[in-house]
Amino acid sequence: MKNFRAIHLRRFSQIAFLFIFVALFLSAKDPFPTTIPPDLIMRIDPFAGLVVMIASRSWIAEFWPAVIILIAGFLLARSFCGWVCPLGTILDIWNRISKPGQRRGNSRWKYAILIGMLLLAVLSIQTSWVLDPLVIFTRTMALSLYPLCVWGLFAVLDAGVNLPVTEDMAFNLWNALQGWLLPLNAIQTGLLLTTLLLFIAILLMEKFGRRTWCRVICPLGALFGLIAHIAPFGRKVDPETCTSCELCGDNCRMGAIDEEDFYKTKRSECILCMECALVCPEKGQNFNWNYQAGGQEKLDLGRRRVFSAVGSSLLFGAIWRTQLHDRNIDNYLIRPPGAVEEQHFLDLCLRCEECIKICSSTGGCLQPSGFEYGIAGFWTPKALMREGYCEYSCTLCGQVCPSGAIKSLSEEVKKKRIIGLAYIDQFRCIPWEGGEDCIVCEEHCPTPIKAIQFESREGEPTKLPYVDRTICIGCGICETKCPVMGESAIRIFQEGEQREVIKVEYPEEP
Amino acid sequence: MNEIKNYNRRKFLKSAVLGTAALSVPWYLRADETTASSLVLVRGGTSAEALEAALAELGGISRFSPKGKKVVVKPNIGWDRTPAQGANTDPELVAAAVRTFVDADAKVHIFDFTCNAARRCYRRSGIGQAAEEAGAKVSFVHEKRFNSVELPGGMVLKKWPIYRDYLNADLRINMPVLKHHSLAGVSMGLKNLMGVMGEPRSTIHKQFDQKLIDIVSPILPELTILDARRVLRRNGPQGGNPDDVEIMNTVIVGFDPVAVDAEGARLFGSDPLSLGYLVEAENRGLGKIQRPADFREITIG
Repeated sequence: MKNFRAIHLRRFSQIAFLFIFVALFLSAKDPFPTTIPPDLIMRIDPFAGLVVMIASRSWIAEFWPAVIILIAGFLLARSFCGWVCPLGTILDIWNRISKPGQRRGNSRWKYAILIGMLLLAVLSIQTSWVLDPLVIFTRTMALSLYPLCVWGLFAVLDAGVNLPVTEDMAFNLWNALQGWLLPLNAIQTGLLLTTLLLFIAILLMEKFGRRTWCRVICPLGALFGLIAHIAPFGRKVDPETCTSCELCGDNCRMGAIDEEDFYKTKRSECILCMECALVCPEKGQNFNWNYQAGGQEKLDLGRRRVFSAVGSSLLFGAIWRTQLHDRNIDNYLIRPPGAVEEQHFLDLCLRCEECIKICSSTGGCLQPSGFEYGIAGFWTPKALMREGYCEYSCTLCGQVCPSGAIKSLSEEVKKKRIIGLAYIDQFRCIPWEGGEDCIVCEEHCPTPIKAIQFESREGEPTKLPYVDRTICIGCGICETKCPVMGESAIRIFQEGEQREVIKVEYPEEP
Repeated sequence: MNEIKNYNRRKFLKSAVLGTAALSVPWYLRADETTASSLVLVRGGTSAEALEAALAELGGISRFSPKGKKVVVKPNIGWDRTPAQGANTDPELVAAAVRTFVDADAKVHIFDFTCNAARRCYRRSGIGQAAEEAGAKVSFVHEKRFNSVELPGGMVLKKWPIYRDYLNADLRINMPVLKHHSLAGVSMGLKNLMGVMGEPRSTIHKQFDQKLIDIVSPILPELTILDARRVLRRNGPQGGNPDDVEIMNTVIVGFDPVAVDAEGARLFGSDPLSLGYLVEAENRGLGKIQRPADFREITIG
């Protein structure tokens, strides 16, 4: 009965942690939460932390929670995967909805992936974002599930607002939800479908067998697996009571129980889900501190796999580095204020999209890049000023960034940080081309002395705007608000952008 | 209920006659008491004192019989700026106005269709908190709650979306802040009504004077309280430079929105006749630019 409770405890832990992760995700909003930082989701991730630290050749102190998780892994084996990981929890829930396949074979491919990604990190190519489960969870939330849910909520609330009977109730609810759950308007996000389909693919992989992702691919799981191999905590079978009924092996989702010898556990695969203890008719299985070399199977990464991992990651790295990068395209690539220099930015950015989530609660300019900036730029945040602009006094993206790809700036520094410069297209601008008043860009320009000034010409009563590039910081509100249809007549270009230099103190102006 | 019980035939006839007579005069020229003014300028004092003095000169808010009415107080909360920067209405003045109407048992609702992110503006302007504490319902503007309003006298525009809560209010109090604006010249009450207009607002700037007056004509407020306590003289409408703010500690209150704006322009140092939209408004009979005979100027302390 003792272990019967343990499985409930595990399920409770999974649900509780999923709830905490979702709550942390939702807490990434304006105003920035003062109690628990929302980026804690990413900062408990030792794999992501390790990769970005190797890739950027720097110690990132923000990952201290990951160190704790790693130490816990030395004691409690792969329990993170079974008890904490939100992606694992989602897969377990999914398997209750949709019948999973029967394959149990544990694969050592994940170790090859881990080795390959660490090797690429040594070459300063950061790829943890491709397969890290916590990144996938946060990213799917930020780019797909949250915008979809917001749309759904808005659909209901808008319908309510336009029905006389429910109008007040729906409006008050909308207003009340403003503070913590909803942005002002529905969110539009780039790469929504791509991100969602990749997430669905992970769910569909369960048709091969339970926890296929965790068994075969997950590099974080592989990292925990390597540690779990020497962890003292694990499964122990009581030989007195065991009747060799094989139920434990049949029910192990991770294929961690040896198919020949049911006493043996592959420690690096076991996620301590306690299912075997539940199904054992004799209640002959326990999980306790019982480090026994004989009770577990040796971990063999396989020489051939390691070689192919090294080879393919070298090839991947070569392609990554050799691929043409057309600088013309960077013209409109505006990184968030406080972003470090581009190479380091790519090394550090986890593509968790927390910055995009938090930006949607205020200015709403950040969007994920597609392949337009190469493989390396995929899913990285860029400011799309036509859709939203960088709020003059907002520092949220830097505050929420877990890895320091966007440095946290003080409000005073942020207000002077140049992320690009505005250019006016005089062939499209209303006063320049049409000879009619407009001034919308000037009106919205937030710098104390406006970066947009008017040129006065003889015999020309219209105010003709021009940009003073010594003042402009590229916040982009002019581009957002420009009343010209389609492409704005004033656009922000990458020219003049200031980036944080890693490890070097940026001169702070008073 | 008491009111209805005591409402006998004689009183009805009396009020009907008076009411008909009153309706034949423009509403802003109507005064309950012969001593009351229609436009007051108050210098000095705290926001609350200034407002109290001004409203007393205007004959008190009882003339609106605000009890149980839905009152919209529409301050300028357009920008993510602090009160000291003078881009938004003074939160203390807003709170004072809210308290005045809440004390008279009115239901006060506050909102503005902001230019910067709404939550930032409501927070940094101090108006969100101040108005809520004073007893108002503070809400954000919901983009689906605009009604398309016909503009019968419109020269350029024939209809425009106007915020429903403003249209449904029994009493509309406009609370602009006096500040510089590069297109309007001086931004005051009529310009502040852009905060109840729906998108695409930025297209109003083309043929601004006609379009602004087209839209405000059918939605004029019953009372305008112009905040000229901290006046943004340059780099409006959002400023940001403390040097651009002049402390004037003045409040202008009146029934005629055009007269209030004209007085504000004079205070700002501009000729009201140089402001195209004010001239346009007067030409269309929305109010008078010339200072009314019953204009009063008070100095506190």
